[in-house]
Amino acid sequence: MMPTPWVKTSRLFDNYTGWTPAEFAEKYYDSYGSYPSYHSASAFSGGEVLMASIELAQSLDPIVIANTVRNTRFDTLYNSIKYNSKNQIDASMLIVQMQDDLKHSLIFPDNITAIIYPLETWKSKQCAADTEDCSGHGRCDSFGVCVCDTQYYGKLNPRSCDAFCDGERAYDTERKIFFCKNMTTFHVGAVTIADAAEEPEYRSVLRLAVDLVNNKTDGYFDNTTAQVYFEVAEDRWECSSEKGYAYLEALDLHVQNQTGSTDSGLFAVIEPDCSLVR
Amino acid sequence: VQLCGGLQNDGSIEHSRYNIDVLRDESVPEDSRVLKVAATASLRSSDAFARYSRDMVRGWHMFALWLNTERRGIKFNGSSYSILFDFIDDYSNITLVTKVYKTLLSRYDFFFAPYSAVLSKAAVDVTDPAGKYLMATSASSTPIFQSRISSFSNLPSNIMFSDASMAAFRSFGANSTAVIKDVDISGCGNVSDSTKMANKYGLHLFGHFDVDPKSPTYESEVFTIISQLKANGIQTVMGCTFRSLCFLVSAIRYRASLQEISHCYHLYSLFKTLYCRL
Repeated sequence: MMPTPWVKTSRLFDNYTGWTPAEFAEKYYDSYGSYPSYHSASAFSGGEVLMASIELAQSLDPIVIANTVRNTRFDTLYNSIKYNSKNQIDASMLIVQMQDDLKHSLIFPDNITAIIYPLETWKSKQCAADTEDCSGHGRCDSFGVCVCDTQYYGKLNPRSCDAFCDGERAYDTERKIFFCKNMTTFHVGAVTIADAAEEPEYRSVLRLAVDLVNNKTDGYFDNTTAQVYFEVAEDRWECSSEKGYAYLEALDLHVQNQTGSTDSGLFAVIEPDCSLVR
Repeated sequence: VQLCGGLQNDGSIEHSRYNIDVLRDESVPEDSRVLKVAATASLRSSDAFARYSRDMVRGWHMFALWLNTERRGIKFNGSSYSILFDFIDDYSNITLVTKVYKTLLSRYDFFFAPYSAVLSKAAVDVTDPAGKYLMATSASSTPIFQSRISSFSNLPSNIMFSDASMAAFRSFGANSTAVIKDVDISGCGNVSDSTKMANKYGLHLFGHFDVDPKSPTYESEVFTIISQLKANGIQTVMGCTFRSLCFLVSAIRYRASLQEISHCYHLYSLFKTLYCRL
């Protein structure tokens, strides 16, 4: 839950743009791919306050503008803004609960019954979101890991149950890693030290990820091209997605922070979308 | 719309050609007069306040696009003025914020403030004595703005954040709480006055717990605190800043495993302050 002075469902109307908060939120989403926080709404309206004050005062003198700001009410999509004697706005605070990745539900002061308690775990939500409930071929267990139905292997991603390489899967005994014959994609899932310790098939994935970051593997990360190159079973793979890049950064950070630790905090989260380079 | 750059040793701003092209091609008409506004923001993803700075900059950016393209500028003295934001990277660094605003003082009359109360204070301390206009859109600490001549905050007082949160706890039926916050430069203003607010709503405040996110034992310290709270039957927790969030989510609600925390690591940016009910 979090406090906020603004939600996109606020019943406000912006006198300058003619937008409601919801319309602002949708335009923002179209531009940036996420919904605005109150910081964005506050920033937008901060510009409106300056604009309106200059037009009202017909001056570019900052002190004149400040006096106009102080003595004017501004009806914006963020709030009906009136600065108090301490040069701040007075606004009712709201409490919202993040009930899924995109939905912040207003729960206080007027909607206490909307609170969800307990919430689903992050892992179960993540599992469901990542795999669309195991691609319809498994179930998300209590640890948030997709347990695939017998005939589905789940790639190398523990949370996915996509039918992978048509069931033609082989096992690399040297690397202790599953791979698919004739596969066109290679997907390394989220694996932790804890998982790796418990699941032998993940150990090599983890080692690959860590070695990759430490430049000890036969793969490497090219800072110039933002691409990851590594080799598995003598095939060369190329990973160039932005997502893969971000996850590798996260991994790098944690490896640096937790060097030598084996029982806490070492995240081997690596999820690049990679393609076989012929 | 925006010129993003860094402050050079000679006081100039290093602009990228790309952003100058964006400025001229997409937003500000060639024949338009320009009102220049300066602000610092944490522009790099590795900056401490990158997430919320990004939200803030997007709000300013969206405003400028709307003003310059849809509304065709600010109407002043018979002319239309497009707005031009100069964003300078502050690296979430107080010293640099002071230096940048001092450097720009002679060239701008209108400023916006960076994310966070601490950085905004550094900016206000420079601009207000010089009679410059400043609007802070993401800083809530009242002492920064009261008694100022030409500086404003577009957020409610930081006390309102604690007030609403404690009121919500009480309405949910809780009678006890605790505060965990990271010791960092944001100051966690929105959990300030929690003692006063706990008393106001009849909540037993078990204690304040400061944790250093840079400490190598951070994780274990947070888990120890959480365990202590649970053992003492504390029903709610107010947490502040990024890393507390992750470990609160995991530790309180989901009996954290490493994988949960790693998911949380990627989700941390969705919150500033988290309240968990045990």
